[in-house]
Amino acid sequence: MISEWYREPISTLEKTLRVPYFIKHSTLLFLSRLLPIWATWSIGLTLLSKNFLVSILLGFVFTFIVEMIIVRKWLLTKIIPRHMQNLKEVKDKYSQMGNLSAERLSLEVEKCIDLSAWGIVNIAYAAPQSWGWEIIFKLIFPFLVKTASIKPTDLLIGFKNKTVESDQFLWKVANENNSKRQQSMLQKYMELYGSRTDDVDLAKPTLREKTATIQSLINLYKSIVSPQERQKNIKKLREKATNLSLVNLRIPKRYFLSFLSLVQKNVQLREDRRFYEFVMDYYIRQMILRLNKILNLDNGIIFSTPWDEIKKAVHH
Amino acid sequence: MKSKRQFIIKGKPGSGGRVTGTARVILSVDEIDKFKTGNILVTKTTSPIWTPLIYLASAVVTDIGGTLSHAAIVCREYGIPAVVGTGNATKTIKDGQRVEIDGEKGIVVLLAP
Repeated sequence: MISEWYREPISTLEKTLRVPYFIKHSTLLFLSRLLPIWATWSIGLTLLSKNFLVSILLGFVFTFIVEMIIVRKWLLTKIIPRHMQNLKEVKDKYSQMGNLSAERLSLEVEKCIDLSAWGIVNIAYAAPQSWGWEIIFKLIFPFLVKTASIKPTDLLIGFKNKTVESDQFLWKVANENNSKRQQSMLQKYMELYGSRTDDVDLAKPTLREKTATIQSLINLYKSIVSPQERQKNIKKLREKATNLSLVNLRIPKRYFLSFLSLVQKNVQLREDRRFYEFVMDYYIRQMILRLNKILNLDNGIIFSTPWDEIKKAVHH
Repeated sequence: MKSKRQFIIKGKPGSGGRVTGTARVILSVDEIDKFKTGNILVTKTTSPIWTPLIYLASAVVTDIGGTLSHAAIVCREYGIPAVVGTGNATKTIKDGQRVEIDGEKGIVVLLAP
């Protein structure tokens, strides 16, 4: 089945190397975070209602609501800082890979995969909550505001975000006239935003490995309006929609503004989180390609080989 | 004469706005060379690697995705019309074909050359 993250069938290496770690970290996250809250709610509701099945279902709904409220802070203060710390560890291992034996390198790849999967699973956990805020906002908007001429999504756009930030950086690279400075800026762009991939699959090259694509993008980004400039119009649209909402409120202004602020903060995570999820992919891919070279395999054949077979080859 | 229905692709409204332009069916960002600023990007679905390309498009059409998909969210952020979840736009729309996008209604009209 095609999805945003699985446009093509996944490679054997991804299936046998990272997927097991995804399962491990998803299970750990469920047992350590979701289950305790869900169980507490369900037991409490069962004691009150004596209906076990309804209590479990309601318990899940309440758990989701609690998570919607607290997950953003958890993500921003605990998960992303730890993930970025882990990125440093992965970069260290990447910088040392030239001195490692095949056996040692394979162990380091596994450690990096473990860190990568931990980050992806925990960061992705915030996705349903951030979407949830938008869905709830759209559903209850007609009960908060009288006029139907305002689109609720217009109140959720035009904020600082990673998408505009990265495209703005690319625009600056493209429009830099000093070639030496442009090269240094391009390097920085690659470091910050180059690890994006087409699919959740280590077999797929990251953006920074697609030099021809990057060059074409730079050419296309010359002499066009900057993303930040264009976003100013979107910000104006949001302000107009907000002002129109404020004069058509069905509830007190301060309640509406508090709720709106909560929604606006959370919906930013929908796309911003994705810029963190795959930050390690480039470095891990290079380590795997190095292993491919040490093992004298045909170019890139390692990605279509089960990890167990690679480990056996390493030990031989 | 063919009926009008045959020339319309229905999808979900991803981002509001109407635009007419040349469609470029691009299945991988590696095909960027055939894309020009202001073209309409027609693809299966998008992820963050596509955002630099989305910014250059005058509209976006995807095969899969809903109002909370990457393409829809990014297009709303840039004010670019988008029709998402059409199911088969990459197969129905020919590369280079003129199309009209209505992001509000979620429809793509295939225009005669």
